[in-house]
Amino acid sequence: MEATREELLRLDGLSVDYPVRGGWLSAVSDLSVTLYRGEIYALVGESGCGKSTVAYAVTRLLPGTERMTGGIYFHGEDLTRLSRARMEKVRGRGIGMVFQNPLDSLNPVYTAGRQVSEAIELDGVSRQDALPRAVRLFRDVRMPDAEKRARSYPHELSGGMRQRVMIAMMLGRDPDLLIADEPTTALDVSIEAQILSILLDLKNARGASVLLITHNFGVVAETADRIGVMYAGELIEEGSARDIFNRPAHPYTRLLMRALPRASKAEGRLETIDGSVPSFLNAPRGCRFSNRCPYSADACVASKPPSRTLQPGHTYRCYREEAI
Amino acid sequence: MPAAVGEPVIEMSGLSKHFRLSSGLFSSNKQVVRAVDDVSLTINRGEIVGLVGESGSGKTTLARVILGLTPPSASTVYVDGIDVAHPAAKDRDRLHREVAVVFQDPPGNLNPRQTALGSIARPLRLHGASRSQAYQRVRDVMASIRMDERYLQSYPHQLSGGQCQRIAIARALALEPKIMILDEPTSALDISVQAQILNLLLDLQESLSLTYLIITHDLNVVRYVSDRMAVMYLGRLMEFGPTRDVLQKPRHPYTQGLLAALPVMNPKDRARDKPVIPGDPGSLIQLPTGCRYHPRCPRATERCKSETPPLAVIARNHTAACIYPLD
Ligand SMILES: Nc1ncnc2c1ncn2[C@@H]1O[C@H](COP(=O)(O)OP(=O)(O)OP(=O)(O)O)[C@@H](O)[C@H]1O
Ligand SMILES: Nc1ncnc2c1ncn2[C@@H]1O[C@H](COP(=O)(O)OP(=O)(O)OP(=O)(O)O)[C@@H](O)[C@H]1O
Ligand code: SF4
Ligand SMILES: [Mg+2]
Ligand SMILES: [Mg+2]
Repeated sequence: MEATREELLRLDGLSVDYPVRGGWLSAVSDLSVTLYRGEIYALVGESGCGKSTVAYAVTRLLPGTERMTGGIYFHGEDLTRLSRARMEKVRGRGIGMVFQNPLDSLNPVYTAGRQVSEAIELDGVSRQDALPRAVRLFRDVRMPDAEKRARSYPHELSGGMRQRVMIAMMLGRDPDLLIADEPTTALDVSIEAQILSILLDLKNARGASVLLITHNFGVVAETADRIGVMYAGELIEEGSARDIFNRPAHPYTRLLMRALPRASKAEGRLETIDGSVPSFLNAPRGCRFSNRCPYSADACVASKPPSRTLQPGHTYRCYREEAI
Repeated sequence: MPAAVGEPVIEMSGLSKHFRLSSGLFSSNKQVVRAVDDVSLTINRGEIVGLVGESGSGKTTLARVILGLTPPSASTVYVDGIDVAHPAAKDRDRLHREVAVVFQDPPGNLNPRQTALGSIARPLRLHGASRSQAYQRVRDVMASIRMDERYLQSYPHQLSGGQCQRIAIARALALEPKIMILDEPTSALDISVQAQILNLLLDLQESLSLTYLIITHDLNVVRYVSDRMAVMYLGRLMEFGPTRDVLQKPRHPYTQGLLAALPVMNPKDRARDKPVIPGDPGSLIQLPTGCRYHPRCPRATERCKSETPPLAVIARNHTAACIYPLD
């Protein structure tokens, strides 16, 4: 099976640093990930670990102040070398993006319907046809009163309705790769399930791929084929969804899984991970989790752990397999 | 007089909030969105109430009315006995000090032109803290949410989604409020940071008897923190009761439908056909007659199309608005 999978997106040693007081903050460090056609790849990890930065790097929407190295290959073409104009073409049609903060990403002075229809018009659909299509897309994403809501402005919509506008806009372009950054945080579980089934349909029927960034383990459990776990800018574990849920190898992944609220406060407080992420000005040498890791040893602080393979397709970066 | 523990602190009866909808420049038929419609709800000092419900059902609107940010269309909300829409000057100050909010949209909580430090310190300064008092308080609150002080110098666009959300929580906590209205407060946090924030909120409830209204779509969060939970659908409360009872034995068909759609927690449990609530999402513009859940309800009969069931007592401390509640 491995051999027949067709590569769609490959990040090759991607690093992104942001300028901050006193130096550069290493937001993404030497990240290598491959997405194949027709798969849903979930990127999870600690808040602030660089997930949105990866999404912005792939769509080339980083602020411009950053320092970026490494390759981003989409359909085999290195996006980091594309001109602005060529990249405009890739965005939308080739790569669709749902941003983490809909209120920031929607234009406050345009109606919801107009924003979606303008996106569709970019693909040569006439203005006349675009609006009815936007309304149909609104129905697909379960927007109530689709026709009337197309005339609403973003501030007149609920948080979850705005998220549905973003999703409709992305679906309207019919991209090969969907990058969805926390796409369902404002949706109730029933509408969320319906949105997830749209993503699954796109994957199954169209062979589209999804890079799904989320903190919601339910969403991951329902949809992901593979999972990448990030911590402080690095990919620390990667494997099939079943492996990551049932045989997490990295100490961070294991501790993360345990923090999920499964009971009520009457049964005791939730487990948390002690400590916090230290500042990564001018990249440290060792494992970035070492100051919080219960298994940390001298080797962990001295140098970065190499990638180990637990079984085919399931890799992690940690020295202390034996201790765990 | 502030209410004692267990006494009502947020009260409303028959509360409504309707909006007029933009319908194009030349359209004369003004559409009305009944975002909150005839809601009666009491929250007691020292308790945590979780509010869940369909996306677009009026939860954020209800929160904004409670906060006095938008006037109700009918009836009144009392917070600590103060009519929030028409407070006397001294009462307004008290509300600002005692009631804190975390809004749903994380960056929308913060002023884009202010550093995190400025965002957290400003309300403290407005309430009379000296510069050094405010700074000390900011540092304490950052320590309590276990966030490194280096983020204090960042502007919102330099922070991740979850970092913005934690700064918004820090700002709310800094005022040492008595009541907190939290709209999706942990939606951008990973589960380990979320756990730590939820634990902190529970510690504060225990030590200071804080009162919380937590709006969320995350039923795991509601189960963990809330004492009672309310379920909203199309502008109305459909069910309200002790969290454990509502989750273990939902009485309203909407609640039951919502719980059935909960995602699995392990990929090995994936089902081919996920049960979702059938039919189209409800319209607040053309509300169904009778029970507003009837077009989608598996138990509906002719009666449900014409009779509007009120929120009625079903079991101890447990109410539901349904003609044929589950037992
Ligand atoms: N423009 C910027 N300047 C400086 N630092 C930045 C900038 N943008 C992001 N950062 C920092 O880079 C790190 C990664 O941010 P990113 O938004 O990618 O995290 P994330 O994984 O998406 O987090 P979350 O889950 O909270 O959304 C964070 O520590 C953040 O503070
Ligand atoms: N300023 C406004 N003008 C017109 N309609 C509005 C306005 N604000 C909210 N609404 C409408 O009121 C209804 C309730 O919105 P609200 O934001 O309260 O929902 P919610 O329950 O918080 O949803 P979500 O879970 O998606 O955040 C929606 O139909 C929304 O479109
Ligand atoms: S009143 Fe009728 S339609 Fe409404 S929830 Fe109960 S059974 Fe269903
Ligand atoms: Mg992010
Ligand atoms: Mg809301």
